[in-house]
Amino acid sequence: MEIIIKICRAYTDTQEDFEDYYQEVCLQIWRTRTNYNGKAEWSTWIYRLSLNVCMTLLKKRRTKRKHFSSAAVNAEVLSAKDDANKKEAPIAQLYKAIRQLSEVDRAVILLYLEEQSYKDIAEIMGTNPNNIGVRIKRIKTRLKKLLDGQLD
Amino acid sequence: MDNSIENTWREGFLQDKALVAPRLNKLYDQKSNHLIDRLLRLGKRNIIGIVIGAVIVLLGFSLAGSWPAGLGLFLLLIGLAYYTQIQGKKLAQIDKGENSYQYLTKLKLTLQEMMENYIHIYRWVYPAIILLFSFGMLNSSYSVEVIAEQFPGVSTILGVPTAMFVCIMLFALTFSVLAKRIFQEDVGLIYGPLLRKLEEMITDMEHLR
Repeated sequence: MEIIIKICRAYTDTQEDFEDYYQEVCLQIWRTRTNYNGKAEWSTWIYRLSLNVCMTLLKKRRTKRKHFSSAAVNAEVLSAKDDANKKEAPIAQLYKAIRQLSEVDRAVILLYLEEQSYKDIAEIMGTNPNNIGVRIKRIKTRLKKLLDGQLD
Repeated sequence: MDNSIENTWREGFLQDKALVAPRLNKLYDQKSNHLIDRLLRLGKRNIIGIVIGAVIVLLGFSLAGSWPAGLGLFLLLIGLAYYTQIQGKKLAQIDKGENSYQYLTKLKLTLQEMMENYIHIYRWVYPAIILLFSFGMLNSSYSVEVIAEQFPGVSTILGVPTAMFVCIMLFALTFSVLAKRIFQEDVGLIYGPLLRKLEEMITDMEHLR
């Protein structure tokens, strides 16, 4: 259950969205539980499903947000910058930085932080384990820059 | 810094309340509201489409010199749009105060009842559209000339060669007989995904109960 919360937080920036995503992931797990065939670890299966649901929901929301006026978007950005000036817990700052990554990078770094092996990460993401190490290094550099305030 | 990211992550979840799971109880309330909103929106678009179609048909047939058929089709389609609007109000009147399961079950029953009503109506609407459209086309100034040229002296009924008249009537009759099937396909094309979602949600909730 903890991992679902952690994943959903990385893909949402409001409590309302977080609850929606969390509910949707739980519902999908419950709905598709019979599809689990035992070939992969149960946790791997949960990771994969949770990430898929979150990435899909994020894409849908992005499409909807395209209809927002630029004024609304600007207001959102300004309010985000105001938030950044307030003193936040390190984990909140880290989440904020993670949310600025692409959907796939978010998934990779979450799995890495959850101490999944490169092989497992590659399996969940459907890619080659050799690429994962390079990708993680790149993501961490970017996260560092974001946390240090070098990137907007 | 490598360490600090990992440590921040590890330590971040040790002390704070970040891992409190939200309750799941509102999920189906939100989903059912979303579903009914989409159904109503789609219904509204459908009505607008019918009205626009009615106006186009009226103008088209009038320009082609066959205004009675155009007027007939226009009135038929406007009547259909009006009827659809009345039916749509039935959906909006379902009590949202009840729990989601009862609400969705009522919604499903209301939709089934509406479908039955529509099937009765479409048994007449489909053939009427075919007849008005065909006779309208065949009685347009252009078609009348072509028919007179191509089939001189052939026996006609309402200005249409008898064989063609019989074919049109048979075609209209077939649509009337198969109205249920055609209507279901028609509805499936437009509302299919939403209806399947409704069915899915009710099944989920029955299991959860």
